[in-house]
Amino acid sequence: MQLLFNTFAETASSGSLFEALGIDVRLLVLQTIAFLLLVGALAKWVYPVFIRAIDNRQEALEAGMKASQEAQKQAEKSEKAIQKEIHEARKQADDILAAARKESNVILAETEEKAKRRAENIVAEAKAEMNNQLQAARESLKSETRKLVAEATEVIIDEKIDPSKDAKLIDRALTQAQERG
Amino acid sequence: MLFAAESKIHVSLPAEPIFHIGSLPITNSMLVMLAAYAIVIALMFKTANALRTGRKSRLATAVHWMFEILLNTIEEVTGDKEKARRIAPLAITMFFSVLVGYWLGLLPIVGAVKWHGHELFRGGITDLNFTFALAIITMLTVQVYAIKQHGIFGNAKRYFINPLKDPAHSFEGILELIAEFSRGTALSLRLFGNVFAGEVLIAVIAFLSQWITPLSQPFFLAFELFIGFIQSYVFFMLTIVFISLGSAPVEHHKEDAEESVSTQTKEPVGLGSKA
Repeated sequence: MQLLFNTFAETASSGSLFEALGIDVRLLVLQTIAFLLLVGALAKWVYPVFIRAIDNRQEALEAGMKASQEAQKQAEKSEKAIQKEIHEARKQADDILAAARKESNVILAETEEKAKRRAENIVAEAKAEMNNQLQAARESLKSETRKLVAEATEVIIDEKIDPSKDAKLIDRALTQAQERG
Repeated sequence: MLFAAESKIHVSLPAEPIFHIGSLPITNSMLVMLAAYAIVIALMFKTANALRTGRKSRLATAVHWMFEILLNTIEEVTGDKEKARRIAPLAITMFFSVLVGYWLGLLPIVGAVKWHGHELFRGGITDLNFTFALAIITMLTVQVYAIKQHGIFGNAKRYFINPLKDPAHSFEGILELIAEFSRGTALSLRLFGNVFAGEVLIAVIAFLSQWITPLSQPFFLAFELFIGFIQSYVFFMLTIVFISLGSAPVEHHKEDAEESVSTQTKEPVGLGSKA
């Protein structure tokens, strides 16, 4: 501190205060002009480039943000649309399922009905067939019996019997036997 | 300014002339400041070129990043983007010039090389001509923006108020006028004082530590680098704050006075009331 005071005192004693501080109006003006020239040069050729770069980056950032927000909105919109679609699809699927169930029930009922009818037909046909066969068997049995009776009678009476001529007779005898039996 | 091996510390408050151009003295601090300007120009144009071509180096990125921080600071202080961009060239150039000038003053050749018995180089900021020049530019800019905002007479009314109508604010106006001058003076002297003290500190440490200077000096140099940054930022901040204050809307003193009187009469005087 003493050193500074001494320095200042030495320089102050040699002239005015400005001189002691080393202030020279010519140098002051020169420094001012030099600095203003520097500011002017930088303001004209350098800073606009710097500011443009900042603005461009800011714009890019804002555009990115906007795009991101837009994308988010779009995604939300799509999500809603997808949800709606899913909901509708579910509803449609439920409807289809319900209709299918109903239709299948109808088909089932019809099929059952058809099957039942067919089974009845089959049974009826089988019964008819059975009856036919039974009738045929009876007829065959009758004819066989007639033949046997004729043969037996031939043996008993020892006379030739014609089954076709004596058929009426044999039938009456069989009918009477059946009624008795 | 001084040299570690010297037996006596030589401190000169004014910058010393090295040569003359006509009658104009060219001082040792002006040589360093010239170099500082050259570095600032090179740095800025290199960065601008890098931004144009898109091939940014780390240095260019750092300079542009610093520029952006300073621009954002101006925008925050002024609250007006357009105004901030008008002020930015001056304030930001001040920041970079002071920073580079300060840091160049810490180079070992500064103060060590002699020329006809004088130091050939001296810290560019340790010259009141430079710091006063910056302060004058700042205060003139403040007035230009104040006049733009309030008009010539409106701006004059900030300082000159009829004492018969409003004696208190008239006195306040005179104080404001004095404050304008003191702000400028303080702005330049603060910067000069800090830089000068920093260089003296380094010189004294070098002188005291003698042969262990290579061990002691790096700490103080690192500290001075930090101080250089702080001082540049302080000068930059004060510049934009003064410009912002100068162009701030003028309060209607009369209305304020009436309002404060009515508030005081309405408020009951008690423990909780403001004095």
